[in-house]
Amino acid sequence: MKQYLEIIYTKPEADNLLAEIEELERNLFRLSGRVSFSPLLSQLVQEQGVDLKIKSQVNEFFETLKNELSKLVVLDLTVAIKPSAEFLARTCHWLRAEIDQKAILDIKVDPSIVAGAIISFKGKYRDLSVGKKLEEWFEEKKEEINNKL
Amino acid sequence: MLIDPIFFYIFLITIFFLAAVLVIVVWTQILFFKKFSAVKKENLQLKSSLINEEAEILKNAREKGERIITSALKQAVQIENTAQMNQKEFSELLNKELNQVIKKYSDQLEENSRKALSSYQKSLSGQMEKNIKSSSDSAEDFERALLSSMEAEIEKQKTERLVRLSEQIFGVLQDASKEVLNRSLNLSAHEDLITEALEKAKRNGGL
Repeated sequence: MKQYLEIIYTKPEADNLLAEIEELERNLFRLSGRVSFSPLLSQLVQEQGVDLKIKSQVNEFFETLKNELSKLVVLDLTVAIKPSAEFLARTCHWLRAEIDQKAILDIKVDPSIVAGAIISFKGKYRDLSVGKKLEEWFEEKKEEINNKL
Repeated sequence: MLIDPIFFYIFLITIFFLAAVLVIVVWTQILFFKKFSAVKKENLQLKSSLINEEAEILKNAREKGERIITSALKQAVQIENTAQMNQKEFSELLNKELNQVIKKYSDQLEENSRKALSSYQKSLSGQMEKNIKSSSDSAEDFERALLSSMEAEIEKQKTERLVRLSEQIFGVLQDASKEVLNRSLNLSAHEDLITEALEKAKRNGGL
């Protein structure tokens, strides 16, 4: 089951997956015909070798997945631009290796921070944005700048 | 039937005894009556003398009262006559005195009023001259003060506006710097800075 989480990097991915599982739990065995899964869930189903025709196996798979998803811890990351998927994957791997194996990212984009990031994780908050540094620098040099003006 | 002589003696003794008691009672009554009659007589005599004395006193009092009333009436008539005369004299005298006082005070009042008016006129004309001079001085002072105040106000507003302008320029500069910096960074540089921030946070115990 550890493999499941390796391909989930962000909170929206985890939320979407949970919503999809809950929807499937309600309707999977009521609907006739072929049911389409999201690429993420399809990948998980394939990797875990779950037989979708066996109800008990599917239910167990969903329960385990939901349980694992509920254990994920979210790191709020405010950045100036929308990062690439590769960056998210790389960062999430780093995070899991260095900080917490259950960590996922919740990315918020705010151009006013200029660059860098504002990080909030398990109740700790750090503003390491360039915007903050710039403000501090301007505040420090305010008198000097005003004199030049 | 024979009566025993003892009973006869007892009977005689009893009669004698009763007769003695009767004599004593009668004697006592007589004495009491005599005494009562004497007291009654004395009382009557006393009453009679008292009535006579009272009558005498009343008579004397009436006579004295009549004399007093007669005398008082005479005196009253006399006083009335004198009072009428005195009242007339007093009224005349009072009128005379009052007229004198009124005249004296009205003269004094007129004199004082004349003096006060004269003094006030002098004072007013002096004050007016002073006021005219003072007004002209005050106008100059006021003009100077107003000018000074206006200059101070202009200077204050100038400083305030300069400060405000500096703040605005400072803000614009800050925003422009952010904008320029933001645009000057490519995606890779941004991502590097994010990674750097995360690593720094980890190093500083922020994660």
